[in-house]
Amino acid sequence: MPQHLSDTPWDIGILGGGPGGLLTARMLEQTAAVPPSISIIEASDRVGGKVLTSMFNALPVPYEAGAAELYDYSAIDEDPLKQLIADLGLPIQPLDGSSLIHNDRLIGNLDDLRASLGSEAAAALVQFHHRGRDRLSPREFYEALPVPSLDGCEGGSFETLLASIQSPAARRYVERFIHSDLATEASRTSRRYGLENYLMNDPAYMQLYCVAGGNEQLIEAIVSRLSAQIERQVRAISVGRGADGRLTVETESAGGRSQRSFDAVVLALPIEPLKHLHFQGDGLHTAMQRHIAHHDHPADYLRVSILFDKAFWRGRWDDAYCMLEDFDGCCLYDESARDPAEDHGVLGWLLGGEAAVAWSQRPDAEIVEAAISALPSWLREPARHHQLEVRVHRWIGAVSSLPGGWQPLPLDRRHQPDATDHPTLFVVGDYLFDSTLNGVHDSAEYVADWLTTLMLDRPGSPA
Amino acid sequence: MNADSTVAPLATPVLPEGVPAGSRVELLPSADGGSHALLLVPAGTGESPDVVEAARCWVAESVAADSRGPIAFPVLLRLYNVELAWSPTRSAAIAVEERFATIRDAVVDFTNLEAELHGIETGIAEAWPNYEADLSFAYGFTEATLGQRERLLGRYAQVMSLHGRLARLTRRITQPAPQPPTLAGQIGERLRERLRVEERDEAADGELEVLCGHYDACGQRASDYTIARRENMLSWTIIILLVIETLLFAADLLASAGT
Repeated sequence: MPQHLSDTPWDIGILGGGPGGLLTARMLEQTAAVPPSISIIEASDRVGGKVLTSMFNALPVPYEAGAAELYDYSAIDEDPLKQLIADLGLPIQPLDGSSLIHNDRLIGNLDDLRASLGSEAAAALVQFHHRGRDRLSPREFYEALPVPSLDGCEGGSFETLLASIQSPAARRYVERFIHSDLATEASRTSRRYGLENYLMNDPAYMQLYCVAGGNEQLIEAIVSRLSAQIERQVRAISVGRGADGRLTVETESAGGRSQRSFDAVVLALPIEPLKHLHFQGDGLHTAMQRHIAHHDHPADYLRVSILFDKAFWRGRWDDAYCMLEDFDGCCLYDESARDPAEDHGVLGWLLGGEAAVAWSQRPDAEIVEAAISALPSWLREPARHHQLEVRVHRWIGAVSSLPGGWQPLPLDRRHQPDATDHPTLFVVGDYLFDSTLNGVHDSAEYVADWLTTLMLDRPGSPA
Repeated sequence: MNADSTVAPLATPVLPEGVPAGSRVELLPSADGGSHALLLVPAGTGESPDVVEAARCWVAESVAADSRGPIAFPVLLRLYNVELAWSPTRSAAIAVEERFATIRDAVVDFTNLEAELHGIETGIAEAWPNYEADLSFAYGFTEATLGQRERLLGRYAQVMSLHGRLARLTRRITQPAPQPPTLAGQIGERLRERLRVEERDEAADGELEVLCGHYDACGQRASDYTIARRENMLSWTIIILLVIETLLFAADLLASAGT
């Protein structure tokens, strides 16, 4: 087919410069026989979306303002995201922690739990854990294999599963332990998603890690290897089909409005910006509304990060993270544990669900005071004394809660909302999977493979 | 034979100065026939650095003779509500009294596991000079060297025994910690991590593969030589018998021709 190789390459527009858009672009550039011409259109002045490693002003110390961790599935099977990070030459650091602070005491294992909450609670937790493992095996978790007792329409919310825990103390322990991971309430998420978030604390299912020095290095490493044109501060307004049959994207920037034509368009946007995009034509409009309605189950995060002149907690608490009981259960990260060479201390609070929404409406000073008050008493005073700078990041509606009874669409329908009339319009997003970076990687890989196949069938631009 | 089997039981060490009332030392029997001394210090509300240091120094006193390559003793662990200093012969734990039994079991379990691994490593280290000396036997035997077979058989049995011990130990080493996590599981897991037990297990396995492979080859060569020698003898016996038969036949022919 040499005559095809000289054809005009496909012109692909990717709306959204978050991990989904960047990963799709990278995979397309790597796998396509004829490298397509890719334009990434990003509304803000930065790429990376929810992967955001910021610096404090007082000192050049990094902290994770967005996605805090990545999931390591390599104990079960292939882990393409971890492989990508290794291929990019980025160092990783495992994140360990299994404790919850209850009444000023660390509950780090069953023995602590028995001492703090009683034997009945410990026995109930063991029973819940073992039943959970029976319900969902590591392989079923990894492959997202269907499990009728967890996935069925009548599956109900995770609250129904929690209700099976006889001991109220053990029930509250589980709720608090996974609340910030869920980013929503147990009553608003599915049995499966809730159980997955509980079981992921078992190393047989997965382990956590981060990119040493900041997760945003992953974004920087991808961008530095892309040939795609990245247009920042250009907002997409509408998507439709032009008279020539190609997909059109109307954009707005400081230079005014313009209309562009593409052979294929990938919508790599979170649900909220997707809602504000205008889709031309009744068919496309209806298909996209249906897609949005199916996936619009917002869940919320709030991140508080505080820089301290030293890591005063070391010696009494040495894990990378633990759970606090306040805010219905929130995660406390020792961000400075991610960089052993760092002299200063950084603590990060991750609030989720209703607490995140409620507190996001308060001023930063109040949020910070509440965050420090949530620490055990032996850390509170030093926290006030050693504090240098605080940062608050609100991620309201940033992820999906996967409600009970919700049925994921088949992969093709998930990624191609209007297959009949707009077969080259694709959707990529973490919300199509489990709201994680690993999920968005899977989504990008699926669409990139599909587009690569289309380009192989028609190596030149379809126009 | 386990290289550490001659370890003599220790006398109960005296309590170090600076540890609070209620502290005690227990002598725990170890699998190598020796003892492991465990200092148990009841925890108060937040340990003073002096108590922790006193316990650490007490463990450090015993470590001069111990060696595990680059691993420095004592190994210090700070777990949830438990502080532990470990060396092959002494450990110290600071925890609430209710955890002492769990800690004791976990320390005994790990100490025995580590001692067994160390014993295997010592056995392997002792086997390498023999391996070097026996290298030529993997190629072939002569009449003069055939007498070494019994000695090689002994060495083969020795490395196979080490391999068998390691195989049984590997099952314990690779067994995942219980979930939800228990204190004993966490102590075992962290100590295994800090003492690089999995890596040492893999390295020992690799070395034993080489040693077993070598002595296996020696056995094969010895067997080949013995069989070849027997075949040779048999061939000569047949040739001699055939020659005798031919001579007898010829003599018989000459005799009958004469008559």
